[in-house]
Amino acid sequence: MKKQNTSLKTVLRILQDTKPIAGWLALGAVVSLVSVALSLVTPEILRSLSDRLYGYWEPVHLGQSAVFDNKAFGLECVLLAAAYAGSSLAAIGEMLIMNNVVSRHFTCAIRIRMSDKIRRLPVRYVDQTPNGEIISHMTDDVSTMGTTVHSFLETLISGVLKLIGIIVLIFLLNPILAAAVIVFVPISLVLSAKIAGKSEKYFAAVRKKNGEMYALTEETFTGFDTVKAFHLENRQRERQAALCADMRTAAQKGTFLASIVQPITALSNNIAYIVICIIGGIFAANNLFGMSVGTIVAFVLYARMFAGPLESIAQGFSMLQQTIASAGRVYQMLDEEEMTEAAEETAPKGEGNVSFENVDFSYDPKQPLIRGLTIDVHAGEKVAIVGPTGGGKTTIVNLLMRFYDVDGGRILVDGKDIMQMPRNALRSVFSMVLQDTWLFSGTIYDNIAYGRPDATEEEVHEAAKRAHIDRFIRSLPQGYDTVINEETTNISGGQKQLLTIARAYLANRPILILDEATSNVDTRTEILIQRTMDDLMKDRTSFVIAHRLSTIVDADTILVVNNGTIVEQGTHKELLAKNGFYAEIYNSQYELLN
Amino acid sequence: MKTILPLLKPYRKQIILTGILCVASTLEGTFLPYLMSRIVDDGIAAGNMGVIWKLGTLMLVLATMSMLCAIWTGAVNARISAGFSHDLKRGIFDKASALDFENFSRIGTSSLLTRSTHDVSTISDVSGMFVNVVVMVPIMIAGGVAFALLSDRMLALILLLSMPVAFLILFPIVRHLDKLWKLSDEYIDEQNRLMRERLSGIRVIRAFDKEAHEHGRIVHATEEMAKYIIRANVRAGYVNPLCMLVLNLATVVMLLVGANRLQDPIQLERGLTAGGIIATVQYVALILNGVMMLSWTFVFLPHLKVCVNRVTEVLNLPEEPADAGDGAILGGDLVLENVGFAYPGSEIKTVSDLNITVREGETAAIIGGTGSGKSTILKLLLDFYPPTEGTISLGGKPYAEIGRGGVRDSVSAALQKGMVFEGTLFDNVRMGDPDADEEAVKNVLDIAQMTEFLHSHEEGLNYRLAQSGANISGGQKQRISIARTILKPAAIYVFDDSFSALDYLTESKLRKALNRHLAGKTQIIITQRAATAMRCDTIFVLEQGSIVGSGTHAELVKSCRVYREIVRSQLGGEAV
Repeated sequence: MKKQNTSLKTVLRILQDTKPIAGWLALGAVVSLVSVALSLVTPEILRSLSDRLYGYWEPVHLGQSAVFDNKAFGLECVLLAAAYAGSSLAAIGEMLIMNNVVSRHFTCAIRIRMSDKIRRLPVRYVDQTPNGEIISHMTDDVSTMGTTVHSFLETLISGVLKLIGIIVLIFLLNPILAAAVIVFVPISLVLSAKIAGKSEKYFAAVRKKNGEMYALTEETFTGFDTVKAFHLENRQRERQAALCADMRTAAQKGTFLASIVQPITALSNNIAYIVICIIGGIFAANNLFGMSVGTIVAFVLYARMFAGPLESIAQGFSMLQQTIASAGRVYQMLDEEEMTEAAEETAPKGEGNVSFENVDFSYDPKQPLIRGLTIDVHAGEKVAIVGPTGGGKTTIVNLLMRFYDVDGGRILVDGKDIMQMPRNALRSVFSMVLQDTWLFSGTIYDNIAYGRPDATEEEVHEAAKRAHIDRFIRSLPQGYDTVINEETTNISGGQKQLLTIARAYLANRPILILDEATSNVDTRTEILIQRTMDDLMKDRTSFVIAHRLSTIVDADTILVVNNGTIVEQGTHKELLAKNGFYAEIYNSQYELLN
Repeated sequence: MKTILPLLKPYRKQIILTGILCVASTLEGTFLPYLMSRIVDDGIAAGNMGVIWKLGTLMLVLATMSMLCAIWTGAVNARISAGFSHDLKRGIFDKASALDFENFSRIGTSSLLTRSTHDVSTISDVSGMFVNVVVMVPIMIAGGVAFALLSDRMLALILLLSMPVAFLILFPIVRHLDKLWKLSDEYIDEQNRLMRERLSGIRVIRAFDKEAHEHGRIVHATEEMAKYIIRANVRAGYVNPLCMLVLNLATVVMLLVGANRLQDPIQLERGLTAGGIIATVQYVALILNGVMMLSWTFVFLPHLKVCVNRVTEVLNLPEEPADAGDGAILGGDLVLENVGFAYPGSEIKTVSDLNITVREGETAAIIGGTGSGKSTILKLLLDFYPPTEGTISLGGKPYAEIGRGGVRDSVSAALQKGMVFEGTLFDNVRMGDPDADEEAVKNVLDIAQMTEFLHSHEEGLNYRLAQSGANISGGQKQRISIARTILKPAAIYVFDDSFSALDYLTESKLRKALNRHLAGKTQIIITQRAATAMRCDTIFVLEQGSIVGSGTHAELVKSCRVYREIVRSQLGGEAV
């Protein structure tokens, strides 16, 4: 009951979202009504035409004389052609309206709303939801919603009206034959729906195995060298062969079941056809119930029309289930709680003093991470954050930048509580250079100017020079206009890192956050990167996730992070004297050295 | 096509059977309107109930037979298509895993992956449809025209003419549909790419307060995408109504012409009847349905051709030649003499003039940045490629004489990525030595510092690793692959950047245990971390494919500028 309630709510909400296009939908409905009405008229005209043909031929055939009314016949033919043309044109008109309106003003609008929503969602949401999922909501789920709205007219208006129209018309024509049609045509639909459901089960199994095979193939090809080095070819082949065999069995069954739907439908349609011919024939031969050859023809045509709307209505219902699920996911995202913003328009002064006062924080309330953290960082000082990989060093960055908010205590920048200022004002005093260099697809120039679109060309070039990347950029055929995208291969990881440093230079902000890891960078570039990072840190307050001994040793404060918690803090000397976790890390490095 | 067709050979008999059945089923179906015309002409007109019942029963029998034949066709077709797809999938996978490294890397991992999954599926799906159309459509058309001829030549001619007319109208519409679909797919990809970029860069974007800007980019992409989707859908949307229009107008023309000829006594003499005209009109739907199927096939044909070409290319590649060597040599000094190597098709040597000697039982390090040629040396050591110049020998015997199998038995290597496979932890480690028992596996896992991991999971050794190790971290993958490497009985153990994802503390513990376990064995450590290389017996410094210095840490600090730079940048000035 509760489930039905939410389903209903979802459907109502979809309807609400179609309000802006309600006018167009109404127009589409009118146009499709025209199309339906015209298509229902045509068997009637054909009935009359057939009767004229037969009415002329029968007496002539029996040696009597008859007159063929060519004028009336021609007129009816013109009428028929006009009805056909009108029906097709109306169908095309409806197709054009629905495609344009639904795609432009419904699916597109929802996608834009979702994109807009992301602006106001906390980083926590993006961290916790796999990116692929968000993207699939935005494309696949919205597409499903669009298809349903699109086929709404087709199924509900055209389908239902057509169905009612046909039933009324055939009963008016001949109730006995009508009963025959109504009995036989739906049987095939029920049967084929049952079989299709069964075959879908097998196809689901095939898809599942196919997914496994994809993963196995991917694993084998990406680990090709390991496969060869450990003679694993046969192991992988056997596994692949087993999956292929499973797929073969399931696919054979599924394909067979799917293939019998068509013959069964054809048979029951044919039975209806034959019953019409026999009963109609007997009636017509004996002149019973006003049956004529034309009526038989009209019946055959109506029976053929009958299956179409039934199918589309059945399809519409199964589609509706999918749509409710898809729309549920979309609306869930649109309903996510948004970040609240401080009302006061106070910005930090930009001196670069930072202090943590008794800060508590945890990602998961069950697992407290940071408790009572207190640090005082004066303008121009350097804080090194060290610890094993995966230990949670980025948490401090998350809190400083308000990607996450503290649970207790406060963080002050230039003496002001960061919770009291709008996020963008707080962030305007920070620059970041992160380990995974994020550049957007666009020109090098735009990437450097990302933080300050108002910068002059000279300033951009100057920033690049200071990041030691200007000469390289100029050596590229397109220079600063070189477009960086996924396919970019002529820019190395190190050069990308230098670009992000140039970006930070240009932004010129008093507090700096650096993740100084330089794996996958060649030696020369690494040296360059470190020199420019050191240069960048001059006269700025900096928080450095440190990997190098030199950074750690001369930092003003070292925070030692392990398992997400700050286990120690102090200067290099203090921490060594403590002989705790820091001393162990430091000595292990020392051990490797000696 | 030539390579794909032999795969259909085992199904030759079934294909012939399905063809015959298909003909039977289609002809039986096509008979019905003709029989209806006979009911009208001979039954109703003559008031003959017997004829109506007789013909009606005949229709019922034919319709049932048609259904049975169609179901039988379905069964045979399902067997053929499932079998063909099975054979194709296995064929390409078997071939791909037997490729040598030259051909493998020429085609590339991702392309090979697409070819052996997406392309193969497309071929088996589309080819099934294609065969259906090729067999059925001509029969439908021939049957329809033949029955029309039974009633009137002129009507048959109009029927025949309606086909090219329909084709001429439909073909230009569907012809470029695949391009439009591809284009709209590209725009969908573009929107998704922007979204992925935005989600992955959310911190930088917010740090620079650029959410509005990124939102604007996505709005633009979404609007563009809608434009192209509309264009493709509208074009596809024209097909059905237009096809119906042609069908219906042909019906009207046939009725007009039929009525005209019915008034001609000569035609009546020839046997033209009202029932005949009414039946012939019904064949229009049958034939135009065939034309529509044919047009759609033309949409998919170019796509099918591309897939077939791509799959055929792989199937035609040569397999790795049989191993001609003498077999395992487990021990002795490793000597690289003037070794140079250029990747196939490349003129630039990745490494050149390598002279490296590692004595039995020594630990050597090869240090260098990315692009220095480190990993190439590993590939040469494992005989993935033969060197283009010079020789590599083990225990005094050149690699060529030992043979690929022997070399890979003597050298055990942990590769950079720390590859793990779907299966249990136990299985993954035991790949190093299929004969190892639980005790031995636990021991190497302990050396690889994985005991804590083992204890933290109830399943212990039976812990299931997901495909490509998606459920464990990079460091854990590296340690599992180290365990696998040292379990394998070999003479030389190579570690290619195998410690890069480990923190110094773990690395230190692991290296200590490793040295104890591998005492007396040769170790080669390939790395870019100075701290990792420092304690090795000999360090080879690699830059741009050449060795620019070799010796101990102390010697190199004095003599080698490149080494000094590496040490200074990584460990700070005081380490030099």
